[in-house]
Amino acid sequence: MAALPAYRAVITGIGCTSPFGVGGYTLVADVLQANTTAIRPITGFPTDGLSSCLGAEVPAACLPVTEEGRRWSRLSQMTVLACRQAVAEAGLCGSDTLSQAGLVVGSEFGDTRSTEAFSLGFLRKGPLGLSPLLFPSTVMNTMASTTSMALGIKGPMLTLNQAGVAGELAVVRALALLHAGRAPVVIACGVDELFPLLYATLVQLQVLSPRGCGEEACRPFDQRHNGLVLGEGATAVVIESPAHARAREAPILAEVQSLWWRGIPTPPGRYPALRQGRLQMLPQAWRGAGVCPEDIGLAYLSGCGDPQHDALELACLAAAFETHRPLLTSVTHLTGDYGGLGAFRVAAAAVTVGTGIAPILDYLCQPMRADVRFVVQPVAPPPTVVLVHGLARGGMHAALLVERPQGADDGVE
Amino acid sequence: MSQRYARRDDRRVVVTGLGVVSPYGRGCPAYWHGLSQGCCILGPLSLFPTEGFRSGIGGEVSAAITRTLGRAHRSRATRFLVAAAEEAVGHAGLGAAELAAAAVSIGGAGGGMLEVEAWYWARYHQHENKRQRAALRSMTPAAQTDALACQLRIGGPRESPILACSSSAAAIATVADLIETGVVDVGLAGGVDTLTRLCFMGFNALKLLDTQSCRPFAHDRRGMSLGEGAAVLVLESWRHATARGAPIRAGVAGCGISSDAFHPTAPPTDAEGAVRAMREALARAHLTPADIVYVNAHGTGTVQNDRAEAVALEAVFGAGKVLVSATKSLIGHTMGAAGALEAVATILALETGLLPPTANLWEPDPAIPFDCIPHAARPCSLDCAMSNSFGFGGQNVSLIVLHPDVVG
Repeated sequence: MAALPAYRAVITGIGCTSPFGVGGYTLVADVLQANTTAIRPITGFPTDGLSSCLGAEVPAACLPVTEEGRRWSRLSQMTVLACRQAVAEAGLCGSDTLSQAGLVVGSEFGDTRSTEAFSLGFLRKGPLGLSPLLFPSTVMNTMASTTSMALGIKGPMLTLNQAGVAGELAVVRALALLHAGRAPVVIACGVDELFPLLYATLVQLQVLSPRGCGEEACRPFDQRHNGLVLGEGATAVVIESPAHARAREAPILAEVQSLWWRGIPTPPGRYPALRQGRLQMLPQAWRGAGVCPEDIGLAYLSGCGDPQHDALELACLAAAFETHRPLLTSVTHLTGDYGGLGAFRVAAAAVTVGTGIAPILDYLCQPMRADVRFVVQPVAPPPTVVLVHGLARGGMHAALLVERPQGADDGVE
Repeated sequence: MSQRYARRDDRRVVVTGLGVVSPYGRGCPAYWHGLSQGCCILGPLSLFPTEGFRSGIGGEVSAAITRTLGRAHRSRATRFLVAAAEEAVGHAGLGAAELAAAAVSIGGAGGGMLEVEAWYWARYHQHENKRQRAALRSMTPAAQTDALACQLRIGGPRESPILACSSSAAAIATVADLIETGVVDVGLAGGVDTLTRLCFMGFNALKLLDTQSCRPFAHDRRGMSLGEGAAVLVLESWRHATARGAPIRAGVAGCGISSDAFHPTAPPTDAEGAVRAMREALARAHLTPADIVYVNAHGTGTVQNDRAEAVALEAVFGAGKVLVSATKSLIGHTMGAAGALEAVATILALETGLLPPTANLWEPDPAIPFDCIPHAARPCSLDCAMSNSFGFGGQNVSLIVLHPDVVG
């Protein structure tokens, strides 16, 4: 159970609002190819007096300056832009299909910036200081509802709240909606943003690098890792059945299959303990889905720089693959970490199966384990099957397979 | 109706356990007693000060009841949720092995915000207590779901859907999908929300709170009253439930989910999205409008929402063709938990043959062309019923539940 053997579809569009700009497939490919980090000292808000100052911010210049866009919160702007780009890339703009489409948005914190602004209105001026325009943004579905209004999406609309793997879960749920026949096309989006209260609180809680230990940096899977460096952004992927995509002559970028989706019983905010039984979870997934692990050439991991997380994730992968050694990589050193980042990992995997481009972990001086293979040089030959793996505080564990489209030769179809 | 109900496949979804924490107290019996007696429990709030706001009333779970709900260091939302889930799992007789593979989906909107507000308020006034900072761990709705999964050792797919006031109805719909499509055999679905300053302030700012107890479908309705609570349903495939001899309390025949793409807080006047949700639920249930006798309405008591829902009901069923009641008039609008609490109310109505009333309906709105069951519960034998939930941002969910005798 929970192996989701029949949840298989194709990705026909990618959209991304990121520290690297707004774009689609090509932007993601350029980001992976350049392998240049967007992490730098935060400029959007002061970090004076905090022991951390790094982040990967979406530039203000990327966000809309239209009359319509100004009414939306910053996080909703990011979401709308990403979804609009994905829909355009999928050739769905203005189509009847779009009005029947589903929308799933995954987020860890939602629009907490608006929640704080709304609360401050009361604390400063009492009931008269409360803004009725801000209140709807305090509910976490605001990004999805704004997007549905902006794009005219009228099918099922879900917002999923989850730490760490909200982006992966959005894609998994999108596949489930398709499989249940609830929509012909589903847009899955992962989104989260940097804002001062969250940043300062996570510094105080010793979650962010450097946690009083060495240089502040984002170094997943390196023995020098010392906590998270936050990022922000929104990534959307358009998902539909292969038959539906072919019928409307949509560009098929990759195939995607939901492989594993379970919650390991774990106290909120903590990682699951490393136990032998838990290391067998992915092999169960291979068996349940009829997947041969030797076919998997590369894996995108959710490595975030938290030593406990990184150790657990590597142990899971090493146990799952046994003697097979796929290449392991991550996008976190480029983008910073946030709850909705999993959707970017899925988009990156789609690019990797199409082009062979994958992020090089060039910061990796002291790898945590010697029995796994990280991407430390350009990938050759291009993998045809890529695993996207997510593991999070609270015990959520998700895995998807992204494959080169059937019938496609080398390169993007 | 039973002759016409077409679903006979093994993967049809049944309900085998129900659990509730409501302003009436802990457990389904207290909940149903309060609803069926038409006892409006809305009263002055004590959780936080309400001076300066339009309204000072709501449906609050009393301190005496809350003290009986689990560990005091947990968030109020987690305590409500775990208590409701334990009752549901107990009714269903689920064992550890079943829970280890079960799905869990808990809808909400506020999560553990009540305790985080206390931290943030203190921080703003520079009285921050480091112990209050622990509340941040349970701030998000997902933290309540994680805590429940940890407590009951639930190890299957886990979700925390946020669809504003239709969150928990969506949790039921999406877990039912997982069962119907063979991903799991068992799932816990429900919702939890507590009263929070944030929510209270927000509806106050929108001028949507009634100064008196809310009066859904009344000519003189002035807005909603807020409430709090939790409800959890154990859903199973019919095959799994019958194989283990579980008590079948109801069937989940079909669920519809749609969005308006219209406005952040208001429904369209033609309620087109709500109509689509109801029709999708009917289509998935293989039922016709004539099969539905009773609708537990979203019925918030706001002028626009009640009017739009009546327009939708008339479009789907025809004027006066179904009995309608709004149980929010009795316990208040429990936000993300409302869909699950009302699904439980609808199932209990099927079980008992008693339709819960709409309280405070002294002067029905002539523009609402339905019998809204004022004041007193109505005896009525019925096979299937609908529960509607509509949320901010245009989120519509309709559920159809069946009497166990017609499930199979």
